[in-house]
Amino acid sequence: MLLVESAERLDYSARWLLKDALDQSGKKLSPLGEPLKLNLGAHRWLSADREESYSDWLAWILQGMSWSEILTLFSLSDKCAGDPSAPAEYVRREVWRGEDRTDIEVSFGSQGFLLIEVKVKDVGTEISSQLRRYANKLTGQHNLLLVLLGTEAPEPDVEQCGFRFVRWDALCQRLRNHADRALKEGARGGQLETTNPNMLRVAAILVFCGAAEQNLLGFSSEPKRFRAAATLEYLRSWGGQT
Amino acid sequence: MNDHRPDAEREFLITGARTYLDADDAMKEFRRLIQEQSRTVVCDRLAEINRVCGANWSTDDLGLYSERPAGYDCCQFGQQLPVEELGGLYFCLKLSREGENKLCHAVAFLYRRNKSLAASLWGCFKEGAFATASVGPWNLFFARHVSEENIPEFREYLNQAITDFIAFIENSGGLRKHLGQGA
Repeated sequence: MLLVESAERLDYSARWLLKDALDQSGKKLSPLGEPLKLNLGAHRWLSADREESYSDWLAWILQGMSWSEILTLFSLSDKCAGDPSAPAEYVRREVWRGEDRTDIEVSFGSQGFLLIEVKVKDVGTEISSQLRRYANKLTGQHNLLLVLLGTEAPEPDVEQCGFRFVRWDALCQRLRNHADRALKEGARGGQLETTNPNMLRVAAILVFCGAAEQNLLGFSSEPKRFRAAATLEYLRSWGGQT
Repeated sequence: MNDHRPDAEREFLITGARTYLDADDAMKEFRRLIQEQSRTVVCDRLAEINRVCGANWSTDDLGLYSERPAGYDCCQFGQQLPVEELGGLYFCLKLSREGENKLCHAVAFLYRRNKSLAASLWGCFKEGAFATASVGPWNLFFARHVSEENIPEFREYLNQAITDFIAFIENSGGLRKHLGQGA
């Protein structure tokens, strides 16, 4: 009981601080606001078991980004070869590779090829054989980059076969940074009107972040019991980045 | 049907039903907080850890670690890094019991999945060379004792354990040199 009472006190104080953190973050993302304040937990398309929804939306976001912006999202900036401002040649979903269907493929022509395997739940050791098959099938691609996107890193015993693991929370924070930069650039150019198509795109990116943060990571502006401190830390760690 | 359960058992069942979820959530929150603090410390020291291990880990490679080893009266939680060709590198809080005493340690430890791996590194370990270190067939431990009232300063103790780990690996010629040995 002592532990529960102590956790309740922590939760209570974190809820107070969370209000302020949400306001701060909302100001940073002005005029769009903080995506955690939009309740996306009730939308069936975005429930935690709809891996396809998250993959489809992420693929759409990547279609509008340059090579260097995409690599930054996945912590692969050091792999950027050629023209960093070049857009993707194509972004494809569910490409058949033998008996397997890959989640997201991004081609930059002669500059490189990125495969993203999307997981919205913890992965077990059985994923090793899947990653190995994918890596083998794509051998020969120039500047091949492999990413495993998930909520938690696989156990050390999982052989990752050249895939770089990227956590959903890290991806969402980088997408928030991307949106923050776009909003600042818009403000400098006097283009923050909501009729600006780029503003709609930034809004869609932030809504995607809100959906992943609420449904995959368990953060919320009205957190469940004992989840306020986690949401607070997440917002603080994002707010501290430039 | 008459219920002949002792009063203590009845009370325990009622209390359990009433508080089980709360207690479970509170334990998860304690674990999360320690895991988050471990992550902060490891992120700060990652460049040094990479240097002595000849690795190129990024913060994305850090994963949550939580274990209650069967047969041991302890539990451990924090962060982990995968070490290819060996096993894993762990940074955690260890809570254990020795008789009536409860002990807390901030621990950095290296795990090998097979006893024949990195045998030369395990061979570098000399009892007593590091007051805070110990060796087992699968693990090299660097542990700092933390009294219960000092748990809020857990990060500082974990930082010291990592310093011990780095010093040992550095004195042993770096981790990379010892990998690729054994089956």
